[in-house]
Amino acid sequence: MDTTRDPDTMTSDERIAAVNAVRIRHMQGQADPAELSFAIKLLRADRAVSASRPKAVKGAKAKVEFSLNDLLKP
Amino acid sequence: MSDHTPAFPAYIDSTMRATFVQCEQRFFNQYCRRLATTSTSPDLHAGGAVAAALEAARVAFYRDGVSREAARDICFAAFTKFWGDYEPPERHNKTFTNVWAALDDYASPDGKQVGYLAKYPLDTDQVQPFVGADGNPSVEFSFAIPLPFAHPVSGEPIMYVGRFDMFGVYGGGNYCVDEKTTGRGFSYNWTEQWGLRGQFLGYCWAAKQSGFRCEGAIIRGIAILKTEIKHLQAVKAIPNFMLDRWFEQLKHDVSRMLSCWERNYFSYDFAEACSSYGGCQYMQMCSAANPDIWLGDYTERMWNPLAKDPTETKDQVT
Repeated sequence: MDTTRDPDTMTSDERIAAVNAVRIRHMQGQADPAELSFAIKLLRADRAVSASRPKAVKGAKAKVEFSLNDLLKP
Repeated sequence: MSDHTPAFPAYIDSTMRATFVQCEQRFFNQYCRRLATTSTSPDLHAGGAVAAALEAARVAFYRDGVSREAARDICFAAFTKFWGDYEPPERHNKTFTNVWAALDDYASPDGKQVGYLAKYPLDTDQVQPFVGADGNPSVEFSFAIPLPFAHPVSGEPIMYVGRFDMFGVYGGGNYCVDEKTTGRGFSYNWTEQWGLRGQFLGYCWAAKQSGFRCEGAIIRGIAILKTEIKHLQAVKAIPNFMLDRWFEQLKHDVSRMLSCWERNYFSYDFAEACSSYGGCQYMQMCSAANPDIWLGDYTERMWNPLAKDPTETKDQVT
């Protein structure tokens, strides 16, 4: 595993996949300290992205409903 | 092959006592017949992972003298190992990533994600571990103290047992320290609920029985919410008269347990205990004409109060 990668240049899926790979290797007793430190960085980067992501789910749904209502108007 | 032949437990802990007081029948099913559902409790699993991880960090930092950063990495390694491949039920807050976020030595810029090791840094934490005469920091405290009751089969003394996360020094006094995780926010009276909690009265009593001075208990709450982590600390002074009161009650309860065993009758609560916390796991047995037809739904699980996650199976108990 390339533990020198910048977590911010990875997608969320890539980060989680890399963390899971470290978890499995650690459970098998094969992860080295650098990999564990890297997993911590990946998890932090992923949290930072999640926190900054706009909470758009409810708004988006409302918007769609609004649009549908508009369309249904006579 | 599961063995549910009733056997009176060789030891009692605070959870067992609380269960007995709530519903004798549940005590009988859970601790005498060792009946357990096959699922793992996400709360107990997360609590166990937190305890294992913090213990590893404290041992590394206070005993082995590693740096704060190295202690955090060791904390993560222990956490990952304890967590294994466990997946909590869908939409449960206590996931691998959320619980780790609650432990990490990291505070997010918006202040909503502050891990335990950032909130209570090992090097500057106001609560430091008690260091015994042997020079070892008390980063984990286990006890097994004989009670003045003989086991109905072996004749050996019944033991009062338990473990807590740290025996700490705070403001010049000694305190039992325990972390509590919750998947919900803190109620307005969260800090008030611990003063009469048998768990902490028992810890304090055990510390004194072991020859230590003990002023009370410090309970550190970690609320693991969907997008936020919150921390709250309760410092409870426990006077001697409360310990005496608790011990009298414990003896009364153990005496009642033995009496139930001798009479071969454990009462049903038929009240709140049946439905609280999403319903008792033995509800289907208590409502069946022949409860034993449900035995196949349960596995054998020995409650082990000295383990970080006490819900270990029979095979895991050593």
